[in-house]
Order: sequence, then C-alpha cells, then structure tokens
Amino acid sequence: MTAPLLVRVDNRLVHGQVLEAWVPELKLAHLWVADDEAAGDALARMAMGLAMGPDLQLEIFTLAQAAEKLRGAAPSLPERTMLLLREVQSAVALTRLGVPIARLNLGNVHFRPGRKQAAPTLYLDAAELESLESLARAGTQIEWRAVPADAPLSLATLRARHDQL
Amino acid sequence: MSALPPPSSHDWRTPSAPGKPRPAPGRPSRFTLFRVFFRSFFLQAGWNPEGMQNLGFCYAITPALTAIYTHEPARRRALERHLEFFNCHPYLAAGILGAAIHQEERVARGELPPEAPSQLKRALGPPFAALGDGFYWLALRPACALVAALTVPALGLGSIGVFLVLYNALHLSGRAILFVAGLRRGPGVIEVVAHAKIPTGTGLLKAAAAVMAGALAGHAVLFAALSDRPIHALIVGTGIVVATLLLPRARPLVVLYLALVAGLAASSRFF
Amino acid sequence: MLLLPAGGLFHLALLACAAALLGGLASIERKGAFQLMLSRPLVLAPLFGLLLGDLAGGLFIGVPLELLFLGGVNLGGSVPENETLLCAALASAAIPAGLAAGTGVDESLAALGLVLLAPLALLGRWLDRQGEFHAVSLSARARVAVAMGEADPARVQLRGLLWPFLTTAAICAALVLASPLLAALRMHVHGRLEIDLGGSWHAAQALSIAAAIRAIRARRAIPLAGAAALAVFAAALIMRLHG
Repeated sequence: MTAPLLVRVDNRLVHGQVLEAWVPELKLAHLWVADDEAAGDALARMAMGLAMGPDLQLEIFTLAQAAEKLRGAAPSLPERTMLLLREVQSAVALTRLGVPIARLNLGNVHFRPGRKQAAPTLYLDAAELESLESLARAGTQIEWRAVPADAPLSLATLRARHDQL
Repeated sequence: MSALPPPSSHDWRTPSAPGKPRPAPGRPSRFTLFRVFFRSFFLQAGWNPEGMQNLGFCYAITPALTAIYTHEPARRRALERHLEFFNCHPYLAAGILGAAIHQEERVARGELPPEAPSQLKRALGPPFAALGDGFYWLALRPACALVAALTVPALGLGSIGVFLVLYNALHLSGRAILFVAGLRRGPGVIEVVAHAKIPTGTGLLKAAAAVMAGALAGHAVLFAALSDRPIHALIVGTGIVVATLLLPRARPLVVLYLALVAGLAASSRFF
Repeated sequence: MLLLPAGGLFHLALLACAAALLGGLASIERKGAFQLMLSRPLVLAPLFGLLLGDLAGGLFIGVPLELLFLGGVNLGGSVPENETLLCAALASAAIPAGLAAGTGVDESLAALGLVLLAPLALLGRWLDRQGEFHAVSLSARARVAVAMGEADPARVQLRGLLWPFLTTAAICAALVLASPLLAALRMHVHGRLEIDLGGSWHAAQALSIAAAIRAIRARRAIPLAGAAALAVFAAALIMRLHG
C-alpha cells in the first residue's frame, strides 16, 4: 500500500518555496515532476537536478508517463513524495488518466489575461475553478498555501475571492 | 556572414518587406553591458504579484536590446517579450540576464526562434531561484551574521564590517561571474552553476551556522551567569530551550511578547 | 516637561530628518535595489547609531534584532515580516530617547521600545504587500510605453521604490518626534522595575538566539547547536579549573 498522493500545482515547478519550505516541513525524500514541457527540455531538466540537495531524489516525467506509474492496483510511488504539476488542468488530466489525487496543494499559478486573483500567489480563470470544484466533489482535498507557514485557504474561499474581483 | 546555421524550413529573422535587406544586428558594447549589469541591481524595484521581476528584467536588458536590434519593430517585439512573467533569485538572475542577451544576439542573427530567450528564462529561473534562496538567504546570510554576532564583543563595529565583506565578497563575485558566463556561453551558464556545487556549499554553511548559533547560546548563558545578576543566566538558558521548542508551533510575535512578559515575571520572582 | 536631546527641539527635528532619510534608503535597499544587506538590523542599527549620535546604542539593539529575523526570507510571492522597518523604527525612537533620558539605549529602554514597536514588523509586511499590489499598474504602463516606441519603457518601474521609501521615512520621522514620550517612560523606570525589565530584555535575547537556531533549516541543526553550546560550557569550565 503506498501513501496517498500529495500533489502541488506550481507554474514554477521546482523553486525556493518547494525546496526550502515544503521539503523540510514534510521531510520529503522524493520530488516527482509531471510536465511535458520540462520533460522535453534538457536545460530545464538539468537545472532542476542541480537544485536538489543530497537527500532528495528528483524524477521528471511527462504527464502520460506519470499516470502510467501512478494508476492501477500497485502504483510505484515511494514514501514521502510530492508530485509537482505546472497547471490546474494537468491535475484534471491526471485524474482522467485514472490517477486519484488525495490532496491537492495550490502553490503558484501566475497571472495571464482571463485569470483573476484568488489568493496572493494564485490567479485562476473560470474553467480552472470549475475543474477544481469537480475534483473536490470527486474527493480531492484542495487548499491554497504557497509555503507551509501561510494560513491555508479553502476552495470555497478561493471561489469567493475570485468572484469578488 | 559565414557562421550562419544550416538552412531550415523556417526563417526566424524579423519579417521585413520582400526584397528589402534586413538591417544587420548590432553588438552591445562593453559600456552597454556594464549598464545592463548595473541595472540588474534594480531587478526588484517594480516587483509585483502579476509579473514579479518582469519589469526589473526588462529594465535591465533594455540597453542591450537597443544595441542589438537596430530595427525598431524588432526592438519593440523583444522588449515586449521581456515584460512577460519572470522570477528568480536576484543574484543568480544575473546569469540568466547574460544568457538572455547571448540568445537575443542569436535571435537577431536568425539563428534561434524569437521564443528561445523566454524558454531559457522559464527553464532556468525557478531552479536558480531555489539555489540562490538556499545558498544566499538561508545559509550564507545566517552564517555571516552569526560570525558577526559572535565577534561583536571583541571587534565592536569591526564585526559589522566582517559581515558585510564576507557576505558581499560572495554576493558581488557571484553576480559578476554568472553575468559574464551567461554572456559568453548562453544556456551554458548552467555548467558554471553546476561546477560551483552550490548545494554542497549550502549544506556546509548551514552546519557551520548551526554550530555558531549553539556557541552563541552557550556564550549568552555564561555571560549572564558572570554578570552582576547571575540568576538571569537561568532566564537566558531556559528561555533559549523553551523558545527553540515553541517557535515552530507559534507565531513569532506571540513568542516575543511571551518572552518579554516571562522575563519580567521570572526576574521579579527570583531576584 | 518635554525630554529632548541636548540641542532642544531643533536638534530633534534634525534627527527626524536624518532618520527619515536613512530609514527610507534602507527600505529601498532591502528588496528593490542592491541588496548588499545594508538594511539588515545588524548593519542598519549601528548606522542609525552613528547618524543619531549613539553608536553603542545602535550596536546594542542590532544583534538581537538580526538574530530574531535571521530566518525571515522572501521566497517569491511569500513575504516575510519587515525586519528593516522594525529596526529603523526602534532605533529612531530609542536612540534619541536614550540621549534625552541620559541613560543611553540600555536594557530597560530597549525592552520598552520592543514592547511598543514589535507589531511594526507586521505592519511592514502589510505595507510591502500594498506597495507590490500598486506596482502591478507599472507593468501596464510599461506595456503602453513599449507600444509607443519609447526608448526606455521599463524605467517606470523605479517608481516602485517610492512607496517603501516614503512609508518608512514617515514612520521613522514620526518616531523620532515621539521619542520624548519614550524618554519620559524610561525616566519612570528605576529600582526594582529596571532590574525586571532587564530580565525581559534577557528573555528577548534568549528568544533571538532560539530564533537563530530555528532559522537554520537543516536536519541536524539542533543537535549541532546543542553540541556547540555544551562545548562552550566545557571550554569555560576547563579554563576556570586551569586559571
């Protein structure tokens, strides 16, 4: 039996908030990145590898490869792993590929036209919010927290803040 | 023009009227590059939650883009793409800035697609940020500050000088080396960063900082014990232990007020 | 009676201007420009001491404040408490007050100042967020300037420095002008209470060392620190036995 899957959505994937705040807080031993752009970019892969400390293992997959590893009766997920995704829609794609997500942490989603601010480091468009709500209905626990020290915001709060703007 | 890449199906060069020769790309002078480097010290002046360091990056690279793109619409498009989202550690960003200039020169010569610099910034920005946050903010700064805290009794104001010199020697040389490496090697700047073995340095400095913080704790207790109010050694000693246990669980400001009140109470009870 | 530094009201006004300028520049240096760590409490407090006429007083508050905020770190959009504002404010209030009261910045004055001003670290973080929020509009302006073909369209970002400068400068000036109140408070502290406030300050120092230990986010930080503390005790014991 493997641990329930902890997923973080972060446009920046591997950066300081992940390595200097979440890794020590959760005593993580493995970081998995599931992202097609990163998996296809040798420079990005090398840069992420450089940032790892001695006690941390990094694996970079495409979304399809990650789904392959994570679905089915005996998913090959080691203990103390966090899975990093770039976009909210990647989480949706993973569940469509048959991977149940137990906990979803929303870290950083940057501004782009159409997105409105829902939390200090989180900009979402209407479709992304709806996707998150359907994930929540399917049993995923969802919160915004850029770093562990932030007070978490629930999906309902994110919805309210988003609609206020 | 013998260094042109092999012909490809795409011509990345700025579209210009057919038959009209494209203006030759310029080369930024040493002075221009120095201006860019100086401007990189203002990377976070316009920091904002939407684009983060986007304004600072664009501001810094502007003199180089003006030199490279002698053709106005191309210059405008280049400026526009550097207003996109960017965030990194402010010191390590110098390496990405240099590499972006290297790539812009190649874009202007038609050797790379215009989106190449953006892709480079996206690939290197976050991991470099992690390296810089870990090394400079969470290892070097605490270590240098603890050296100063330990030497203040002996050196006074001199220990502040020690802090600034130690820290900024690694800060300023890091910025300069990375900027030049980026300019010369483009994406190859990553090899210079890899060669620096930053996570190893981070680990060693953190261990040194932990030892110094412990030594400071021991010194503070002894100092209080040898003062005219030795009972305060008890306040300091228990205070350090209790606060170390309490800190991750409570808000720092709450702990600060607890400490101030507890110190007052303990002093009035014991002395 | 108003407790003023030696030169009277004129002297106080002069100190207010000086503190405003130094505090404002430090607030810019902290994130917006250079980041040479001149705005860290360790450096800034002695600079205030030099400028306001009590170097020892500045050094006295600089080290504990530095240690207290050693782990404060700006990771992307995650903004830490503003140690620079608290340090500038405490120095602006306590140094002139110590001069006026004739005590200098001692333990009780520092403890009183910290009790009154500590929430400014949180106010500073709130102000930082406001400033960053307003800077969003600078991005839009730069885009317009690019479209208009301006030579240096992103230069507009330097206006982002104005907000931290002005807010910090105003707070520093106000606190220098309010320092006679702190001086009066200090004059009422003597005897028993003075000793007990010393205990308060020692507890704050202890907290600052604990914060420094906690600031080092490494797996073996606490055992290493404990071993080092024991080594210091052992060394002191040996020196005592031999000396």
